[in-house]
Amino acid sequence: MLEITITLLLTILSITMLIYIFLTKDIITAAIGTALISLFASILFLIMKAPDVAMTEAAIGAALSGAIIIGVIIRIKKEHR
Amino acid sequence: MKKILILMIFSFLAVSLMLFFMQINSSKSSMQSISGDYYLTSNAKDFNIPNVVTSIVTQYRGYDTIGEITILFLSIIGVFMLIKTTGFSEISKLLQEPGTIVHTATVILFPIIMLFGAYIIINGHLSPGGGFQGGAIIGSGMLLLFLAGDKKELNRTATHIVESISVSIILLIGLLGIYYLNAFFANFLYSLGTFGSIISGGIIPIIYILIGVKVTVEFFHLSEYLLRS
Repeated sequence: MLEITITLLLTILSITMLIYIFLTKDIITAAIGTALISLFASILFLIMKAPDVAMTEAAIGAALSGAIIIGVIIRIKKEHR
Repeated sequence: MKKILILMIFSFLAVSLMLFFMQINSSKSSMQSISGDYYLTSNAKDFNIPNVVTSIVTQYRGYDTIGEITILFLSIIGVFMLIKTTGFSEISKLLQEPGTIVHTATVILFPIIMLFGAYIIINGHLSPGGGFQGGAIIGSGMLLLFLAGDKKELNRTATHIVESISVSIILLIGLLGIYYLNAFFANFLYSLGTFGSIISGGIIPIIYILIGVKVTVEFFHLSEYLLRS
């Protein structure tokens, strides 16, 4: 029962974050939001008993891809100035 | 009002999707159960390691692993081509000067992250994890160095050479499998070791450590070229 509750909560949180990403005007907030969705997804993978996938998702989805997207945004802003 | 309506519709969709996936999980299809039962039953006597996922990734599905390595390599080449490397003199103009909190946290956290990644790579055949996961952890831990404003230059030629040598040794091990047992990536080391110890499983730990080295170097290059050049 606890697992189902956590799963439901994380799913609704991810969907809410997705809608927020679509509606927001700030592009860096959107990048941080995608990283947050990856973090929720890694907890979901852990609940589904796939710790390998959870590790990959936490390392690549939450840390690396977020950092790369933010780095590209900063690069583009500096070159347009 | 409109946003709340959209939110309610999406939440309903999410809950129904979740219930649908749980339904699938309880009733397995026939193909899934055949291959899964084969892996679960024959893994222990074939390779003598507890982690079935590792034996699938490095042995039963070795070709797929080579494909994944190639995809990573191609994506890194794409980044190299897209980004104009201006040399080290212009490095870290992109990032702001770090504060005291970031600097102190990096000093404490960085060695722990490195150690944890190395543990996951070396214990890939005993516990969940392996080369890809540990390499991703170490590679994203290197990001902390850039955020903390580390100005040390890394010899890029040396890291490229390390990466190429590790891939070459992986392919050489695969070809040795053809030479000894007539199959690519065949486990040609006959002493499989005792069940559950670090040195067990034949060539599996060797391949996974080499994959870990390669993935680490590639993720490090990716973030370094994007953030520091």
